[in-house]
Amino acid sequence: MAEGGEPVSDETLAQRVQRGDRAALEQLVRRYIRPVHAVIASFLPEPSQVDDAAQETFLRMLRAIHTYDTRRPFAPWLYQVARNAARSQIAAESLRSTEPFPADGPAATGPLPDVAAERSEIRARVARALEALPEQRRVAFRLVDVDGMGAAEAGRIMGISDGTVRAHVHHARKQLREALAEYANVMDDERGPAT
Amino acid sequence: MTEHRPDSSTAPDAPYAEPLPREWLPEGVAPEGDAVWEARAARILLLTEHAWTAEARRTATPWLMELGRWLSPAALLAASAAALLLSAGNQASSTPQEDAAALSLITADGDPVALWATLGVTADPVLALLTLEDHTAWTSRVDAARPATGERR
Repeated sequence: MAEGGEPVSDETLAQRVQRGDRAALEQLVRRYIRPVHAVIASFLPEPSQVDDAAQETFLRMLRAIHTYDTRRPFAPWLYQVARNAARSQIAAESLRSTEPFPADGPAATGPLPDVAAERSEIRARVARALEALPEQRRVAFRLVDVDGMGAAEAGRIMGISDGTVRAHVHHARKQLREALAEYANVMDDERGPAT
Repeated sequence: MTEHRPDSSTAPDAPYAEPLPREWLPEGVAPEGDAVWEARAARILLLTEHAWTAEARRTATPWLMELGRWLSPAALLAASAAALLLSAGNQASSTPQEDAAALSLITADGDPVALWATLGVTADPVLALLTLEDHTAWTSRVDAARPATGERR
């Protein structure tokens, strides 16, 4: 991972991949497998779809690596590849099935205790509200609030400043709260130490 | 990579919207270092290996074509060099002699000995002059004997 104590930059690794270095490819995959999954998860609800699209992302990355300009940051380039792979997956899924995404999720599987049922209902509402967010806002919210990334890291991956990421997260939270206004009392009860 | 918890750097200043309860949000990706990532990375690397091999095979060219492509500039260069050498050789064998003869005629400036010398003959000055005069006289006689164009009519 490091040469002489200094971590090898993404751009250097990508350049090595361009020259056919498999070890460099392995390093890039290990370094970006988690962020790529997190980005794709903001587009696709199903974990199995996320896995498929993540694999497709790295395959596309390998096929298109010769088009990557090593003078530019690698992470936003890979972010675009992941974004496109996720969109292709959505298009493929919509062709495969015209069934809508189940609105109530696990709640439909059987009776649940009241609290769990309510939480499940709220999560389904959150999922729908997330789908309605603009793309950048949704991705920023997902990376920061769901996957626990720092604003700076999320910004580095998305190719935007950390201030912009914070703004996106702020607006996403606000928009989600508005969409879930009827659960305000539950929200107050569940506000725990994490907040 | 960061830890799997909401980012404290986004903790609200006064107007900053508060995070939603964690229980309401979708499941996040597993934290870094989780064994699941190792398995996923291994699967992706296996897939990329197939793609890598296929791509290498697709872009590979037969060795003979590769050799030809490598040799063609060298062959072109060699042919050019040979042509240049031949051309230079021809010029070296013919041109200086012809040029020398032409220059000698010019520099002879009517001197009979010098004129004979351009033909490689070391002539006696008197004989050379006589030969030249005799040739001139002979040419004049032939011209005089030839009927004029106007007399024929």
